[in-house]
Amino acid sequence: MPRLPPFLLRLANREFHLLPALLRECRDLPSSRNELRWLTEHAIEQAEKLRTTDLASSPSRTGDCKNVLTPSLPSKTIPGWRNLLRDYVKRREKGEPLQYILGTQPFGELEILCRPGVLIPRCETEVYTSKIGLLARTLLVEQGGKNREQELGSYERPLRVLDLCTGTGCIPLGLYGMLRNPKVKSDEKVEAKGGGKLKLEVLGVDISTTALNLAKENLRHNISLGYLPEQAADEMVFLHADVLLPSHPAPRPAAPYLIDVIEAVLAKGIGKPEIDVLTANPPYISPIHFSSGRTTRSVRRYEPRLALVPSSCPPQSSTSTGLGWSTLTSSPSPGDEFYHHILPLAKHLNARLTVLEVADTEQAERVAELAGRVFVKEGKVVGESTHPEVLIEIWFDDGGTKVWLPSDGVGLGSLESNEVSARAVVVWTQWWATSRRQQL
Amino acid sequence: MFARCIRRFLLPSPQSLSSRPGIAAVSTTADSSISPVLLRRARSIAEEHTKLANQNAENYDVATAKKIGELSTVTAALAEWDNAQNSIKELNSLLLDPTSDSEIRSLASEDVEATSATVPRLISLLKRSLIPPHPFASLPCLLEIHPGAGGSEASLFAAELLHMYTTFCANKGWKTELVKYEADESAPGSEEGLTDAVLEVTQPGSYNMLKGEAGVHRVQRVPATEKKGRTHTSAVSVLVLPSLPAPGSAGIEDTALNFEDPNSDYYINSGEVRAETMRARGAGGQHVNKTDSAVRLTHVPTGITVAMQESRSQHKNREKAWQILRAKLAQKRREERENELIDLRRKIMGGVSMTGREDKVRTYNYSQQRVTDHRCGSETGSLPDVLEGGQALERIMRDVGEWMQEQEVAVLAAEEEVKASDLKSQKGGRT
Repeated sequence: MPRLPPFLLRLANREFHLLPALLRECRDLPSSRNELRWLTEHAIEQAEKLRTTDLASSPSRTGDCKNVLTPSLPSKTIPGWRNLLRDYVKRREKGEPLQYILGTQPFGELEILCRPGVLIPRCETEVYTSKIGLLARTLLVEQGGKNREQELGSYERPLRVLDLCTGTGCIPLGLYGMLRNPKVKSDEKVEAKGGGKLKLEVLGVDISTTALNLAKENLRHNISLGYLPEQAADEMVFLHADVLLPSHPAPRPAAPYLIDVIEAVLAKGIGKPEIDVLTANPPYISPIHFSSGRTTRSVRRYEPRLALVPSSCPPQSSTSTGLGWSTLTSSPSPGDEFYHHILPLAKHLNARLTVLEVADTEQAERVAELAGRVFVKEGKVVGESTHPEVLIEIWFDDGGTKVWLPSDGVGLGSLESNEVSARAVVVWTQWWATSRRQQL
Repeated sequence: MFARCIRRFLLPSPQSLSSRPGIAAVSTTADSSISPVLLRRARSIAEEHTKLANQNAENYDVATAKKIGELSTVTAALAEWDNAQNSIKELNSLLLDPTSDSEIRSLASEDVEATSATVPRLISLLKRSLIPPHPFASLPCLLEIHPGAGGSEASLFAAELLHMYTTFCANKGWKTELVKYEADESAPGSEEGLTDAVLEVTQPGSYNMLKGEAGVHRVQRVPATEKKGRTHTSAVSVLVLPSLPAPGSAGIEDTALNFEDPNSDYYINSGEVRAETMRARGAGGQHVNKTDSAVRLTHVPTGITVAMQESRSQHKNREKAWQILRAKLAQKRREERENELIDLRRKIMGGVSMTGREDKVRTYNYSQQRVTDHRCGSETGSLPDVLEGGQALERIMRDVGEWMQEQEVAVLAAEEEVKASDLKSQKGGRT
């Protein structure tokens, strides 16, 4: 990390004595100011809580301090908040993520609880998750043709969403919220009513029990805040399972194998054991990128490696389990391991829409190419004329979309330092692919 | 030519009065008069009202009914005024009639006095009913405060104005929310200064009350940092924007705001808005954990930008940014529409008539403890009460409101005069 210029530190110090400490992580003044404001608000809130719970504490004197951030905040007189703030800033200076200190991270319209041991939801994930929610909603509504309400009501089985490596549960919770409480538009009252009839079954899967417990808590937390309806408790399930192959040699926490768990769950449900939307934000950082400068200190030190770096042993390409792994012959890049397991699973479960988060444009290309091989039969090419049933896209951080074709796939190029990076590889199949094509 | 119109408007020529014999006699009896052009306008509105009412009696239409509702205030005010005029005329003729006896005469003269006394009120009612309702009048509003010339002294006063409006709204029981606040870090000592603030007043109709606050507020005082005791003059500009309901929110169908129609002032083509999140560039995803939630929207055709970074939630920042962008665009389009009017007003009133954003509207003078509004001339000696958002401020606001209505009436009259003279000159050209 480059050294901070001394003038910046001096400037920050003149403004507020705790600001230079925050500069170490934030790197610029505006975001340091924002973090200081959020930390101050949190400190005051916590001090207030402490005071109301602990009435025995004697009120300590508070002097006049320059009201740095918000005018007329009467609660600034609560004793003790400044000590809390100092403590928070110290932790932040050491690199502890802001979300672990504050305990939450906004995600769409939800508030996600964050705790050490579970990956913090990223803003990029938030962006593409809301895009999935919007698109899924539009497709479901448009497919019905004339009578949308009827179509939604009589959708043959619950709309199934499966999220792998779910962590805090932010993706399935966010999607559930968007599909269940769509923003009422003036001309869409009918659809909003129909939304109540749409049956949902949203599954989240993780190998870490810490993550699963937090995901379940997040479900309850958002119901209690009124951000999710009560029925979410019945329509959402979090499962303990390992996404990787049964034969995987690397040491991992003990967990039942995903394929067994998921088939058992789906067999109990209505209709065929199929999935409509499959999402995953799997560990995708290669060990090289983890230790080189690309992964920041804060992430390396404080967030769980299990959620970031796939185990270093690539899967044996010779293992065949009947899902088609054996057809994947090329040896994968060290960061790509999970995609080699998730994509065949998506095909096996007949996923209409698969969205996989990736690290950068290069990985996006590799995963898109892999998706082409998994979803399209040999000898056929992904493209409108030759294979209309499959559509592969790459989504970018700025909301941009590019349809992936093997012929011009190389044109994406590698990531420059200030370029917009690819963030997700998206596979549409069956009638969802046809509808999406018409949309584009 | 323009000067001629105005002269005619200010000094009604006997010829124009005699063209309406029914009114000529009346105008002399009422001390407060209405200009014939305005009366003509009122009559044509009343005619249209009757026409539409007949039309609707045969074939009912909701849009027409709405239009009738809009016109009915003018019609009612005109009818009341006509009634008063007629009774004065009849009473006058009784008085002049040599055959009426003395008892009737004394009764009639009492009645004339009583009725004449109501005339000024009726006239002012009629004039006000002619002012077309402001499209934003019923809306909540956003107050944007920026320090202007005067360095940190201006930013200190900007914070005081923010305080003034916040307490004013609190006194009235209106809810406010500080949507945006950027502290001025260079403010001296323990003082509070700001470089940019947006206060949302969620009370419906607050736009109408506060719209007169838009403009440049000037402060004259000895700043805390001034060692030689010299008085400085600094300026703070205040913008009043309508707070439009978000498209898709409940009950929007009931309002006249049309977000879907591309010709409407409230329409924004989302393709013309560039949304930037400061963190969309460079490495992202699992590698880094960015906390920056700032959102910047740019409306490309006009170059208006709105940046929001107050909330940790990007989602909320985006919503707020859209709200402000919508308000700014609607205001801008409204102002463009009014531009011709502004020119007209400037010519008629000279200088301070229209409160554009660059116009000086009020001075807060500390050494004299005095606040003067330059538009209506309203003045108060209780500066502290004004700055605390008290009664004195509300009085000034009310004076400004009345002044603005008078301006509207005057402009309306001038417009009608121009229209009339245009018609006349056309006719004259032909013969």
